[in-house]
Amino acid sequence: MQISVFLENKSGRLAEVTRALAKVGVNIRALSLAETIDYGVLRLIVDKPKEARKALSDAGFTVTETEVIAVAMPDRPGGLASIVDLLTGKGLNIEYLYAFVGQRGENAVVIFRMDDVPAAVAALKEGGAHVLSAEELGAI
Amino acid sequence: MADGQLGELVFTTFTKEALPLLRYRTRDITRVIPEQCGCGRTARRVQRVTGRTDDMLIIRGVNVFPSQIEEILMAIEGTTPNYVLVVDRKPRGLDELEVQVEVSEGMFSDEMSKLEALSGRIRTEIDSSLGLRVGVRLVEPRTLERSAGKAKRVIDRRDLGR
Repeated sequence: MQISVFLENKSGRLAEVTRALAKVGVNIRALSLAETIDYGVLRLIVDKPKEARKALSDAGFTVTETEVIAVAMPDRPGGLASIVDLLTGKGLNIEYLYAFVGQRGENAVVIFRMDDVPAAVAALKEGGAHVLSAEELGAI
Repeated sequence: MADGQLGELVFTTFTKEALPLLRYRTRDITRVIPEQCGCGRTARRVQRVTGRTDDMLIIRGVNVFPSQIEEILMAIEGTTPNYVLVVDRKPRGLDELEVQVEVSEGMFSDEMSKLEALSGRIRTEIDSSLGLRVGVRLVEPRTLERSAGKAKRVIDRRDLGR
């Protein structure tokens, strides 16, 4: 589960998000920030999504939860290409994605935001990709 | 004023003797509804007040009532989001109207394309119904000024004294 936060492009807003999360002991696993001139959307993968959402809502942020797909892949050239091929090969559209490298450095994890999550999961599993469960993602 | 046309409600009393009113300007914007009411009454009616003449902004020659903007936001969102109208004029420039809309959880999306589509839609709807190009800025909730009681909807930064 991904937590998305609406942020105005004002100094200190990102710090307030991270402070609110730190206060309730939520650890950020991965994040991505998309921005326009006026505002940005911060997307977070955290170890405790429920607590994170509550803490941010309480702090006055506009927050939403989105189902995303996390895929573990070998951290080597062509790793991402093979995964993306599985999705585009089925005509599935990727809204956006971001990646991070796990602590041990053997595997990279890619977060996919898809229109059709069940179809994407099926395509990935069929292609032999390692789709991470919420628990596995939290444990990285 | 023709029936059904928007205008200012002005009273003149014909029968009062103690406190007569002569062309008493209410500054309320409304219209006369000549048709019979659904309940059967045949008297001419006055519509619910849609705005105040003293709320009216004139932006590049176009009359704008905050209530019109509110109706458009209402039509798009289904609820009225909190909003503020900021009027500004650059030195030797034309008036600019910026509509700042607070993003509620119902409007928010993690996809930038959806957020851009939302502000684009507000812009187009205002353009097509008022004939005025405005700027639309999405802002965080609870960032817009609130005065006690009535929300302050218009911030006019124009220096009209010169």
